[in-house]
Amino acid sequence: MDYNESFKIGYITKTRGLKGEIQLFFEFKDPDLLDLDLIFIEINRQLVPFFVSSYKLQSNNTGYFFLEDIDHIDKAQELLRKSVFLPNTKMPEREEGEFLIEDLKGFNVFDSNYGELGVILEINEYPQQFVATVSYQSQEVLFPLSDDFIEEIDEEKKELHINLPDGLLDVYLNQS
Amino acid sequence: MARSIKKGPYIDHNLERKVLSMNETSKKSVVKTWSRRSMISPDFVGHTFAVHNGNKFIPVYVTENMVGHKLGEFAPTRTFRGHSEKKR
Repeated sequence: MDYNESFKIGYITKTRGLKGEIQLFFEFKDPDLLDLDLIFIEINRQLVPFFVSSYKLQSNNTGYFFLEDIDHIDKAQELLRKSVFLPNTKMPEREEGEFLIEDLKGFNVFDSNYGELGVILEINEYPQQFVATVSYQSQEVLFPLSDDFIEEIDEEKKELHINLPDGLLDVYLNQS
Repeated sequence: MARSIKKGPYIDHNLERKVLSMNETSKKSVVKTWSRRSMISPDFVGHTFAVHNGNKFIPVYVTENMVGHKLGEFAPTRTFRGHSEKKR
């Protein structure tokens, strides 16, 4: 399977017991919604399929898995720190019209005063707020994704129109 | 009376002065600050602070439910990005 046809759900953190059980840490937000009968593990830059015999999800974004053919700790240890993928077809369906703040990643940002700022490279969740990162004039610029600053989100054109507070860009552009 | 109540909240004088002068002129520009220990007072609501986290400035747009907390609480100094995969 190609990387373009898959999405990463997490990685294998450790083994448990001697019978080849592994712990998977989920980077995906809602592991409960995933169909985990078949997972793909990245081995030597190839996505290798593994059938899941049984699994148990934990509350701390992890789960314990038994995989077919992995019946001993030695075999399981070879999978440690490997990334785990699922095919795009198993991506949980969203409700119609549902739009998450993380979806803004890749949107082109336009400020009402400064014009085009660039593409959102990253969205980080900070306490009480989300902060987006763009690269403007070769500088990393961060701005809060607050409703008070967002003027318009154009999903079709992938554009975000904002009105940044005065002086925010100067904080990043005038750094020595 | 608890000592912390007797002492009252701490707000950096320069920071407080800047915010109060902006409130008087109804201006709202971003205030750059290293004073992570300053408590957010009701006067701060609606202002944006660039709070230093030891590495870079994190923009913090102050809302009502942040009042009473310290500025530093909203600009974490560490980011856990998971354990990286070993590269061969």
